[in-house]
Amino acid sequence: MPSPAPLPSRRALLAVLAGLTFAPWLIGCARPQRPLSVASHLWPGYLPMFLARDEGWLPPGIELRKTASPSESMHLIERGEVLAAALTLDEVLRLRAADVPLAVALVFNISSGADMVLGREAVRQLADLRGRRIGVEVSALGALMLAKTLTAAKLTPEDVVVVPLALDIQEKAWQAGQIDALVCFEPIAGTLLRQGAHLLFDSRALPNLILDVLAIRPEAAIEYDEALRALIAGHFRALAHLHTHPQDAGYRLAVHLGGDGGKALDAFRGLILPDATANRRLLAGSSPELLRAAREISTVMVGHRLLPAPAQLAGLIRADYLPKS
Amino acid sequence: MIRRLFGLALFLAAFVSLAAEAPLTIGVLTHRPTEVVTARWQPLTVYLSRALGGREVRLKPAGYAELTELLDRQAIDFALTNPSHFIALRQRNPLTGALATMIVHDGDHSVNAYGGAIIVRRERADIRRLADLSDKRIVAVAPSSLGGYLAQRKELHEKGIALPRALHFVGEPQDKVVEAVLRGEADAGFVRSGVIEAMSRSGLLDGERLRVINAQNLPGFPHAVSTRLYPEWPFFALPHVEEDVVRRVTAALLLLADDPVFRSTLDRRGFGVAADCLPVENLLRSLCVCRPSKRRRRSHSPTSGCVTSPCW
Repeated sequence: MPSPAPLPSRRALLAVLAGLTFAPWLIGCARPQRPLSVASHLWPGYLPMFLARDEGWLPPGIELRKTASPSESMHLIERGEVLAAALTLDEVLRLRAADVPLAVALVFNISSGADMVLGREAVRQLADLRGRRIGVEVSALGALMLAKTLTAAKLTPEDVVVVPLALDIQEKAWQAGQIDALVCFEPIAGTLLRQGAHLLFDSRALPNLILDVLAIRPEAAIEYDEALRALIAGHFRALAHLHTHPQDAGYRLAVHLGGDGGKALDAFRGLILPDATANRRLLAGSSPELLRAAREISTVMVGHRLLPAPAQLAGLIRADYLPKS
Repeated sequence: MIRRLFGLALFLAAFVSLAAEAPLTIGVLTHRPTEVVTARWQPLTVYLSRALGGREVRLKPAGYAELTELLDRQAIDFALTNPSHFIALRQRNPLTGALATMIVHDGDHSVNAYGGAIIVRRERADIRRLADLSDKRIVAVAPSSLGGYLAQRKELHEKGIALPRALHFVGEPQDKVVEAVLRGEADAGFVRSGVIEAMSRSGLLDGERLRVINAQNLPGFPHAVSTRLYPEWPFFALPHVEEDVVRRVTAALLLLADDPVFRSTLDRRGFGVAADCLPVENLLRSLCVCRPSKRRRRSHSPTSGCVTSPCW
């Protein structure tokens, strides 16, 4: 008769129990199966991220998903189809107000003249906007720029005709004469300015109000810690290349911007591109500058009914993916 | 006594005036044959002479060694050479910074940057990628050439590919590199971007016989290139040139594009605002390349294991 199997020792039993206790954590630490997907339209401030990918400075496991507009990026991150997205800060606040718990992990750029309102031949100054048709993308940024423009022009929304225009049909609408003014940004703004459009208003009048950021979903923060750090490090490497090697970077960015690489850096006019140190100042510390900007944007958005109530800012910032100084 | 002093002052004034009107000489690197370089830049001397109120301006085409020696002797007043050579010269001589940067016009494109091209004969199917070069015979122009050696070396370095051992410098002009590859004396050659196109345009080369490997996708850049781009050649002055002359020459260079007579005379060349040489300094630093200083002080870098002069 076979002897009964020996009972496990107390030490071995404890080891098994300890293993069971930590199993969920171990599952959580497992390498994610799907890549870290990042939605982004081709705004110049986001392009260093694409340059990093093209140059092989991003590891496998990070997927940049080109979108046609900020609205498409918002839809994708809202539905969880991507785990991160390049958005403006006001777009992040709007999604958070709709119960999408996003956090900001990086500031790509601060608009300082890059967002513009342009007028056709007869619209040479802000006062000329009265009674005119103004094209604008249906987005938080579009609404914010329009609201600020009307305030500066001492006009109300009733004084103008707002023409909702998706980004991809803005230039066509301008050329067809369907609008008298347009809320826009690069590359459309540069094209229209070269054709003789008049600059009526731009984001220099709104310092630190329009920030482009990397927004992340909570799943990304939990499961993609390493990939997020690599993505942000790659962005800063490409940014350094842009700053120290501008001729080369310009021609390489033209792959995404279109047109002549010798003119590509023109698209970065009006943008402040904060490096890692500047990002730490914006996102880290006891009083990050981004929070102050977010409070101000929230106030503006509530005032223009772009937010139902002041934004809740707890958990808005995740500075822990920035490179250490 | 007073009459003597007055006479001496008159003599000195006349001497200074004569010296101020002495001809000015521009040294230009002969990366292409001397006759090509002379034909290209001679009109610039006429233009600058006019801008300086008729003062004579001369051209001195020279190779790397001769140009370096001319600067050491302060035998020229201005120079135009590649940025890595300029940086090396600046270690030996107290030069001005770049006064202006050369621009190359090609079709609808005007570029103030260039890179290196790695050329092989079209039928060489065994050389497709950078890694294929490691056991091949390479020709390049000179160790100081940015577009004709250093840019390609940097590209190999970044990709972790060792510089081929069978590397031979043939000296200026770069046409010799092209000819060596065509004759089969070398498997691949390093030349600056634009040389192939210029030789093809002037009938010196059937461009179809060559292929550029590791070709970069750079929209709007008019020449085939295998490497990163770097700022074009700087134009600079030696320290003995009067500040007023430097100022007037710089202004004239920058206004050349507006001159209806001269803007199209320089074989598709012009000048723009001086570009920062930082990308080239970074390249030299990363490759531990630096010319020895006059005093030949040398230090051994423990981190890289290479010998450099203490220039950075």
